[in-house]
Amino acid sequence: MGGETRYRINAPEVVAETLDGEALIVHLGTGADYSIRGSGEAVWALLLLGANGEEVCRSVALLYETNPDAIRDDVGRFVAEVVEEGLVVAAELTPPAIESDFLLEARGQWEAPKLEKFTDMEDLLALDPVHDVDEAAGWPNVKAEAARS
Amino acid sequence: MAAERTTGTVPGQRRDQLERVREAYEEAVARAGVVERRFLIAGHLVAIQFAGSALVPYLTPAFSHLERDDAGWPDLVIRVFDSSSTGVQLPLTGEEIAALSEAGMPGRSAVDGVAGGYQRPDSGLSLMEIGASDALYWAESPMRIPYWERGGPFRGILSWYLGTVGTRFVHAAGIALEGRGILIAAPGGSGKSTTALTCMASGWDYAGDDYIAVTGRTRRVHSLYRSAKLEPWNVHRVPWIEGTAVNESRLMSEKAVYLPSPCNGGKVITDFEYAGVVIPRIGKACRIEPTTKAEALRAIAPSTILQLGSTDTTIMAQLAQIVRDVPAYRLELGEDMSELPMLLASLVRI
Repeated sequence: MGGETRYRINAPEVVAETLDGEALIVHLGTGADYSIRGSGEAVWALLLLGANGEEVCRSVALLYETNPDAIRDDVGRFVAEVVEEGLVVAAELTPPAIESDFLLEARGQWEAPKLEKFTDMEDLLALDPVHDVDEAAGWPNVKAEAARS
Repeated sequence: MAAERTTGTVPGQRRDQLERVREAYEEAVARAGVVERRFLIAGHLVAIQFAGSALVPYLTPAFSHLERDDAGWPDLVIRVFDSSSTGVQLPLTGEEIAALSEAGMPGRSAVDGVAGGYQRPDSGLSLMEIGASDALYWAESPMRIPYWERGGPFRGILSWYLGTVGTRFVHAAGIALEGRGILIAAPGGSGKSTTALTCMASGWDYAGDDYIAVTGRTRRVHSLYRSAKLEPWNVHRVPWIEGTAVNESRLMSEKAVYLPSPCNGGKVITDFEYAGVVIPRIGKACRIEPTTKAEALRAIAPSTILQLGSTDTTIMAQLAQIVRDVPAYRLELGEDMSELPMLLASLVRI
């Protein structure tokens, strides 16, 4: 993780929404969708606010009443993962004003952030529309030979 | 990993394609005349203008419960033609068609402000300027329109249009009792149709088993298609409907398609207020338990966005609005479905 790098959501390929403390993300390019809960949702929210890695660590440490050094590796791994999955991209942004309400929000115990990935729909997007779709049954049914490959 | 998809369209080209297809439609009308049918879809008057009558029996029965004899100015006009009955060919190159093909889906990419999608195999071409009040649809031949298109015509166009007027075309089923109902959301094969059809046999009203329109702001579900589809090996779960499929002779290669109506014991409703989201899955015994709204959004969002085509980045917020203010439940479906209608009735009765 580049500690100074800031990120924005990889729009329009990626759309996301947070509901009841869970971030749901859909990558329209790959067909994969993702869920982020708990500590990871806080890191995700800070990244979308434009915080860089170091600012994320400091804010998250305040939120979870811990030492930034104790969570730096966890945050770094998570940020690298969301970058690798193409959910965020580096962007030239000014430092964000992280709202005090956000930092005062009650949180549980810090846990290493986890990105859950679901690929139910991804396989359908990978189909070649001309050759892999079963012409009798139609999309999203896969020809037997394509399904085996 | 899925291959990266691109639109393959240069700026200006999509608008030019729209104009060429519009000219072809007008040529088809000059040759075959116009047949117009009108429908009230999600509260919007939609006029479908066919060049000739060949496609009418293939693309209108699914909307028959929404048909209106309304002379007012339509909110949306869908102009439709086919090549085999009019003799007018689609004026696009193979390369252009390939660029418009998106894994058989309606297509989500708007280029030059024009959304377009060519569905394989041979469902047809849809083109619409986002924000405009007219759209174009072309098919090679009525005989080549597959059963799933007949059961749910113009998905791309309706999705694009409704998205601009505050209503979302959603991949879910909808059923109601006395005007209050539920959305049933889950991936294909999880039991949406089975749940909807089983409840319809017990007096529930039916709004759709696969695609419905939802206005989150007013918590209303709008019926789009009165058709219902079941895998042939699943029909035994809904015994009252066995033997009534409109494609009974082709069930070796097609899903069973039904058109519920009072004639076969079904009652189709045009719209209702929804009181919750139910996420079914095939299990051992029918039971229901509360779950999170985030799980409800996960049941609705990926398949809706990826199947129906998103042309804007606010779609997740709009889908979240649909589930935000209502409870969500997991539903396990068992072999014995007799208690299912009563179980779900407890969710909608005040």
